[in-house]
Amino acid sequence: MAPVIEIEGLRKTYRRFRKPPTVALDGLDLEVPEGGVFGFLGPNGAGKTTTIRCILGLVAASAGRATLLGTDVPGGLSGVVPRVGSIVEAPALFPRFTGRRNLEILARIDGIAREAVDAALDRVGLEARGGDIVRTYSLGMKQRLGIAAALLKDPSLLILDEPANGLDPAGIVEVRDLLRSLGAEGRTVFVSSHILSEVQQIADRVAIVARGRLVAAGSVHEVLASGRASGVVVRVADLEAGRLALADAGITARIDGDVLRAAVPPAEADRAARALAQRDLYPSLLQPDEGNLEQAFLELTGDDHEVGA
Amino acid sequence: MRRLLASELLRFRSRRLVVVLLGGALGGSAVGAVIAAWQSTPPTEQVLAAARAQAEEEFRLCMNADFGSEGFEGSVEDFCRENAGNPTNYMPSHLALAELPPILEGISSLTSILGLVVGASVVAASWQTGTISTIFTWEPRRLRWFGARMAVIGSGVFAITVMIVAFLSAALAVAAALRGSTELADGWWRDVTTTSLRIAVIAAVAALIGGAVAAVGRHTSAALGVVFVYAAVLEGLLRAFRPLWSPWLLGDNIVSFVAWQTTEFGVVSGSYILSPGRAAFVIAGYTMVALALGATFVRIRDVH
Repeated sequence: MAPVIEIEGLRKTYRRFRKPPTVALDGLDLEVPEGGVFGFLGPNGAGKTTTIRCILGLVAASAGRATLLGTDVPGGLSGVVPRVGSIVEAPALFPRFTGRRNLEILARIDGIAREAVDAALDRVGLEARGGDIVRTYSLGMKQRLGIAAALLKDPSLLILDEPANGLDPAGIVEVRDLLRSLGAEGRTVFVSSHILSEVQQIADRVAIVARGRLVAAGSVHEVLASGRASGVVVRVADLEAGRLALADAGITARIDGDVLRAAVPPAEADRAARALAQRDLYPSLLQPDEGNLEQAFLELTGDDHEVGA
Repeated sequence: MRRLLASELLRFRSRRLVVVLLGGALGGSAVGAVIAAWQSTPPTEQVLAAARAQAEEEFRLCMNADFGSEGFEGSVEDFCRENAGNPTNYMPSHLALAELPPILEGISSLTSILGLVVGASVVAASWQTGTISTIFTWEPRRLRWFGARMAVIGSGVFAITVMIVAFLSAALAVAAALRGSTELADGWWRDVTTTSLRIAVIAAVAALIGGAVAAVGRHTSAALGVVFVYAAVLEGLLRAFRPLWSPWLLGDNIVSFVAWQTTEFGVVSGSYILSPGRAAFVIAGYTMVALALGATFVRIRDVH
């Protein structure tokens, strides 16, 4: 199956007056397969938004090649743009127009029927506020209106840059469910984000970039495995007693919520089990500690998360 | 292209600035007509008859005068009829509908400023609000988008100006009918129509130049500042220090075009004459250069 986004050696350098040039992308390679949710992760300043701007033709790459839905971009962009919905950084809409009017203006470019505008507003839960001017919207509502604009074309590829930015917890859950359902419909949803836990919950595959380069890519499980996963998770009735039992066996452990995270390789988990059993503590859970995407992310990107946007 | 134009037209119509400026201009026109009517002293039949008689006498004297031929354009009869033989000159101050064409020429600078503000604002707003990113992800052919927006701005400002001029003319006609004179000279309708169209063309040109400069600077205030500094400062300096360039300056050519008559302008080293046809050519040149500059910047610059 051909990738919907394919990037080879993409490079973008910004020249600055009387300062050395800034390298935003430094030979980035990336393949996004068709269907499902693809998480595009990286610390601030890693080049996520620049990558999106390059593939959408908003900034010109200094070198490299990119294709979108099998078409070279930016040259062939006009041919594929009707099948690509996108939000770049924050949703940019006219603040003094109503939400509906903003969508109608965009819909006219592609000859999209007015019913599609209503359907898009309905899908993001803004049908009741569509007649209000955007300036009165909360950040979350603006974000949802941006997603509605991206959905207007009924796209096969959605490119969303930080779609959960500014959303309250309820809004985050709504957007997460929406993206998951869009991915399940057979569309490809390309989500750039630094909220790693969110991406972990919805993405089928992820890529991590740092300093304009790809540092890891694959299924969420594969990327997690490429990070640090060198312990086991144990749940026992008495966590403090368990921690002491493990410490007596020479295993460092810490209490994390309702589990113990023990610094012992998964292959030697029997050592932990034996130490606990000797104190009459029988684990109800004993499994490799894969950590989470956040740990893998920090491991893979090193100090880059300090870099500003 | 038709869809893109429809989208741009909807965006143009929806802009509050356009609605506010149009409403303000129409309101101002109505107020102006009321003031003109208030200050006008309606001439009685007796005053009209006396003025006509005096005009005929002055016309006769004018025709018998010796003007020579140097520097005189047109026929002596036309000159005498329009000046010495005009009955309006011999009546108390009042609103004469016959004077509508020069009144309209007088509002040309206001409608040009309106066009400039609308043009600069409509283009720059897309950058200032960041919506240009959204637009280019729907229509990535930037020159096509720029062409559509400029077409809508130019035709939109032209239509708005025609509306304003028509409304002002109607308001002044009512005022003249109530408290002035409605006596019209031959060719009045043609004069009013062509003057109105020229004013609308200049307003549209101002909008296109404003929009093109805004596409370069990406900010309304910056665009307006650049145009005002050029018109108010730079052209003045050029006129003073490079008098030979004066026939190519925008301001004088606009004056000649709006009045649609060959106009003589004085400079330090003498004078020069601009014909309306040549003025139209120079104005078109300025507009094309501004549009080419705007289009180039739109095409090559990154969008952040």
